[in-house]
Amino acid sequence: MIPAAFDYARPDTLDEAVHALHEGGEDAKVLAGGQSLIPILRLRLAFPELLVDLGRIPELRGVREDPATGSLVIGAMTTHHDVIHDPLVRRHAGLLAAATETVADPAVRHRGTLGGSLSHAGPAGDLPAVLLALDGEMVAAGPRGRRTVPAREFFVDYLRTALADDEVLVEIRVPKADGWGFHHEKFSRVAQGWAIVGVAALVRRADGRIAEARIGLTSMGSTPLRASATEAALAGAEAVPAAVASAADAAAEGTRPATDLSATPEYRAHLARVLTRRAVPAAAGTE
Amino acid sequence: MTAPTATDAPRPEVGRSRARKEDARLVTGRTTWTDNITMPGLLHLAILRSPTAHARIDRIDVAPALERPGVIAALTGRDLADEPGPMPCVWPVTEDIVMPDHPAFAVDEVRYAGEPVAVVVARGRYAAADALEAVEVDYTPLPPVLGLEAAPADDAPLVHAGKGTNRCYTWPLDTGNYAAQKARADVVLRRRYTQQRLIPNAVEPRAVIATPPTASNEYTLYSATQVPHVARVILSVVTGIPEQRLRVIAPDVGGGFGSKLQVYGEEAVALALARKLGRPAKWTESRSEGSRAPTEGNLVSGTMADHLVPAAPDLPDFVTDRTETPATSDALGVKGVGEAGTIASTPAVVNAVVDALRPLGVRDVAMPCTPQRIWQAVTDARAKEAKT
Repeated sequence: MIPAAFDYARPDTLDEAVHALHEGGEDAKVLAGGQSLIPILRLRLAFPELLVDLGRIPELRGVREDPATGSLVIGAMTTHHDVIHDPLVRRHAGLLAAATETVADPAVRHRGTLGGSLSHAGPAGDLPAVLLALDGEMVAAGPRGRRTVPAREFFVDYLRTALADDEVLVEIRVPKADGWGFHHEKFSRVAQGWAIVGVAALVRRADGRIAEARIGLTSMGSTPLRASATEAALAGAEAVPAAVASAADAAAEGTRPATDLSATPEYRAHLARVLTRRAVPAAAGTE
Repeated sequence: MTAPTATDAPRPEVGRSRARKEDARLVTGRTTWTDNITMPGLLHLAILRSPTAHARIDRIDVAPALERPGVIAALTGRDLADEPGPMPCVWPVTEDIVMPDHPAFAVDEVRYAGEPVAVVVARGRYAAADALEAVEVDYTPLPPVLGLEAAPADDAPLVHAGKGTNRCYTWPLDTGNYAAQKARADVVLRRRYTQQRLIPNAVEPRAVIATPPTASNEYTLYSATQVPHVARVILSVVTGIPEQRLRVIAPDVGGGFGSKLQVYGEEAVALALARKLGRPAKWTESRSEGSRAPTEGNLVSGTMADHLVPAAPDLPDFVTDRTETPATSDALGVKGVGEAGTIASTPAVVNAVVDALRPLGVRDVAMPCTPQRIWQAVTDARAKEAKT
């Protein structure tokens, strides 16, 4: 329960942080809220030689509106607590606020950050699937400048993202989901536990039908996934229970859920169908 | 007419919450946990544990740990096999009990995940934890026995091969008459219940400090233990330190849930190392160790059908004795009655008093039943009767 020794840098600017990471190479790690990294260090599951703490870089915090695109821009170091209570997030990306409210407990939500959660890319993390459903984008800064990675390409594998070793996730861009209904379902063994399965649903209705649905799945593979078959079946479907139930039956198609202490793959597939069947009508407002 | 007040109501002892005397000190941090105790020249132990449930130890090399900064010593289970000696079983439950050797640290074979295999002694806790990474162990995995029902099977791997069996003892618990009760039962339910593994996980982990011998060859062991007296006896046997030269102090103990009712190899090893190295030695369990190493809770009976669910008539007979040492802290000179078997005797006596006074109109007498209170109860009852 005592981490191995490491060097510690706490830069005041993003440029300094990128520089420190670049110098540190693959033995350097970014410290955001520390809610995953610190336990990993204490259990000696990782031995980074340098931690670059982003906690004192003001430009990485807060939520604003990009006047050019109309998207929300959320600083990577914005805490879960601040995301939940941010008026812009609540108005234009309610799904993110709702899902963030289920992250762990208040102590974790005051320290943990949106960017940290996405960069850690734990398959049971609640927020990667939400960003996938919201069609969000991640902006990374590195020695070669900035680049934007769509959420669909950001999550590469178990605990792996498209970020290079010397890149810092700077901000998360979320298109406004005005006019979309949303609902987040999470099934865990205890209130603060990891999601055994999570379903993040966005539904847009038109003329009494479901015009479009976007469904992000948590814990159904080594990365967050979209329930593409269900989304396809829902497009243009009538917003009635039979149609939703039949579409939800395809929720686990193309997924590869893991076996662990909590569940078998079959049970996870079952949960994905059940939670989708609950989340879609709630998001569509047809419950 | 006056409204009834709280003092008018009878205040039965049973069901009344008692003022806790210990809280103020605990919640203001004026406590002495074993890990808070420090001493000049204190050495810190870190313990390497088996990652697997059953394996043969082919090789342990502690030499690389000795190269690390701040390290004073590093020892394997084999180094510790003779001093301290094996840990005895303090409760031979039946005469036919099979008692395998129980060295403080594993020597040739590990038999549970979390069993200690080596110890590093360093000047600081961090140095000891860091150096533990350098100890090299080669294991050959052996088949584990998973679960109580798997253990007695004919083809089960043997946990202690030398004993030829996994059966430790057979202890029939004979209460009530199951067959007769079942024969006249209206409903018989057959259910299979699974009790999960239980990790005691006290807020204060296990911790121990052993001092080196004084000039008169006396030792002191501080331990977060629930059984300091038993620990003194056992550790004396294990280390060869005469009982009268070994003092065991249990400072504040932050919970145990049964996990601190045992005398552990870590305590014996701390004592042996303090003696060997001539400096005080401390070990504090990490939270991760605490979920693997201490005695854990498991349901020991494979089937509930062997036992009736106990009911009041199944209580064994008990004998109530009395003490001749008057306490000075209360009016009657009595002490609290702590054992569950006799707790019923106090209300029984009070009920007898109330029963005897019932013809006089007395319905309740507050405990303790002092002569003054009995007289008051009788007087009050008579006054009430006179009014009506």
